[in-house]
Amino acid sequence: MLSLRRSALAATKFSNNKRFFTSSCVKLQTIGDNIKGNDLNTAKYMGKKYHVIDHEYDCVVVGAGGAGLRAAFGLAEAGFKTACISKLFPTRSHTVAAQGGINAALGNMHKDDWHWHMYDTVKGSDWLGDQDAIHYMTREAPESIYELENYGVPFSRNDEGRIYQRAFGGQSKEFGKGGQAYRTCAVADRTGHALLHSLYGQALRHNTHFFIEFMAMDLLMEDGACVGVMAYNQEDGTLHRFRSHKTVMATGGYGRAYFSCTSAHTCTGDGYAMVSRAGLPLEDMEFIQFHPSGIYGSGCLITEGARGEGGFLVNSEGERFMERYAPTAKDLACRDVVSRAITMEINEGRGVGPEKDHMYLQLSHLPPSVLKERLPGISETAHIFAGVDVTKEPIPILPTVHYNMGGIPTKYNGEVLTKDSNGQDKVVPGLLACGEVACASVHGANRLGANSLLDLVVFGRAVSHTIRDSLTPGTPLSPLAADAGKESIENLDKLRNANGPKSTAQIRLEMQKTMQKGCAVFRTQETLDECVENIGKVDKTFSDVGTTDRSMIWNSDLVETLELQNLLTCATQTAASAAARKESRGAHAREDYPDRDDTNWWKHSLSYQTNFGDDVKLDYRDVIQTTLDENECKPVPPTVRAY
Amino acid sequence: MIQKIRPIFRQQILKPLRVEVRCYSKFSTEYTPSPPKLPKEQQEEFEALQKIANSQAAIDQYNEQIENTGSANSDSLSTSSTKTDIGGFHPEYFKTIPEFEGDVNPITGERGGPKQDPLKHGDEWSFNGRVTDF
Repeated sequence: MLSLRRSALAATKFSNNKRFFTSSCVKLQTIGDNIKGNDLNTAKYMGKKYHVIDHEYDCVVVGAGGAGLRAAFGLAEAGFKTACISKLFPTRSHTVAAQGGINAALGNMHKDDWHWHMYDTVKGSDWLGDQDAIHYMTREAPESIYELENYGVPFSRNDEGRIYQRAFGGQSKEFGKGGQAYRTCAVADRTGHALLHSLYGQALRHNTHFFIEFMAMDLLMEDGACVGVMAYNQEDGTLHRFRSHKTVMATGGYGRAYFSCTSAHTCTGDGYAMVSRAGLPLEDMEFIQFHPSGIYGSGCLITEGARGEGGFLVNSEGERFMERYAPTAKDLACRDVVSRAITMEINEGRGVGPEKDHMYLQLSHLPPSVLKERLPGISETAHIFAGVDVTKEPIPILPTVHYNMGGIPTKYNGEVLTKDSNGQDKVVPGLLACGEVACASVHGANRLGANSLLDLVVFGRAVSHTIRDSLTPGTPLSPLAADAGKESIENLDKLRNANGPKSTAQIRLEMQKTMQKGCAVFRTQETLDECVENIGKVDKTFSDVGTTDRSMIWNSDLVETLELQNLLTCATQTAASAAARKESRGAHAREDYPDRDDTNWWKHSLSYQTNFGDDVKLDYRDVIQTTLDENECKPVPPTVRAY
Repeated sequence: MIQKIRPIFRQQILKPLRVEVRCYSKFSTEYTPSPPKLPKEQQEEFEALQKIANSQAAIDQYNEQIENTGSANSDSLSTSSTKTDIGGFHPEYFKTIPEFEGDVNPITGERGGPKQDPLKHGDEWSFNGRVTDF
């Protein structure tokens, strides 16, 4: 009887603790031949009842957008056993929405030279870009485009059958003296779509192992080197430890830290925060590109042509306020001026809507014939995204985030940098980054149109070349500590069981509104200091977060909370970096310091935040003012940036 | 003695055992991960609705709706609310409105290019008034 009772008790204990995670191995959301994983005895090493599966790879790519796919199949092609982890199906990545073109000095329309492209990019970056990286990118651009062409990207053609190139903003000939350059290649109105699908097709051809709908959580670090990554398989609730020689971050931007942004809901800065939690710095987070007229709520951008054709902005008092900010140009003032004017009006309490936090763009005074002939499609766009009839009502708009220039500091070849104790740049072994998450830094303080897709393919390719030249396929992995990734699992466990009073969505909205108000386009010391304080408070409320879903299978509540944690890291570092930079440069425009200050501020900001919720520690790093080879390409000395 | 054992047996042995057996929608060795089931009534309602939605009649009705209204939306908008002075919202208007016919742009000579000049508003890459790059 005693023994029976004991076994009965044992059974109770067992059944209460055991959770019914699936026992299936990686199967459904993985693509590739012969994918195997080993079960880890978590009860022994982690003290938690999670099902952990170990994988061994030569290289792991986190993210399957343009940069991630380019890196992944470049590696697979070079013979490496490569895994590509993505929280989305690859062709749903945000790259797919990039309709703009891709710059390269191919010289199909007129004589062109990549040195001119290099000059334009340095000038566009307001001299904050590292010139060695810009040298590399513009030099490699034509070859990268021809590679894409060979991979099947169906570029539009000119009458000779060569790739057609059109004129786009910021591109010039002969170092800014020869007028507008025709340098932007495109695939009709779907460049990103064509690019992403071609790259995905190539990746499948080369047997890249895809782990789809796996949410990467943390990097596995050992003695300052990256040895892999931890991921959560949303479909069956298992956790996966990917061990690798090289880990490539390609997770995209963090537009969702702001209330209004054009990026997809998945652009939550996961890569930035993972790197930050690994104790590594993030660079130039204060540089964010805004467009003045994004539709309130959806973030879809309305063309400036709407104002060009006679549309104007009105505040809550029905006033055409642009007349006050730009008496001559009025509503046709340049993008930055309009964005700042809108934000200033909102800050002064003249915003429209129940929360007085946006503005109206009025088109209803224009005759229907003008709308139809000069602005075709506007009425559809406004109807779909704002639900308004432009012939009768104004469109609600506000400045909207479009691109994050900052990110993980890397060398021109994609290797992630940190600072050693002597203040010198030091490569982080085993970790590389490319795409929007990386800061090579080719965009510096402002990104030129059609340079972002170029950044993806050139640096995705550079990463695969760097690894190809430094690693032999099939090299055995050094042993990993049995409890590596324990902290990551503890964090997941904590958030999954969090029962605080605030919901994830509540905290996220507070963060987004705080950033939109204090750290958008109108920046003074006062607003930025206030924003740092407010975002700090929001960051602290994350400890009050409560989740409701306790399961492990498709727990979107948990995933959103993990994403919010990542966004908060990005947001706090953005605010802190912006408050510290006392100059105006590119996208960082300060009212109280209207000029660029090359003496004191010709340097990259670095921000550290080793644990979530820590105070941000700021540091600086010199801008690289030399090119890779002075004989091949001379550096561009700084002058006033004017267009 | 037996009376003492039974409650234990019932509560602590049988109950956990019953919990361990999960009802899968199909009986095969190949286990497909799926979301946890809803409470019984809701699950039955869900499955019933799913069955109706998959029936031939529902599919026919849906096809008819697309043919007649051009909308795949089940609560299709009434035409009057979507009509404006400058045209309705037929599916073809959700696509880029073409500026020329054929494959070759008569002005630039571009082949296979966009049907609308993406840069007609200056430094912005836009289609149908929506900006995608600048």
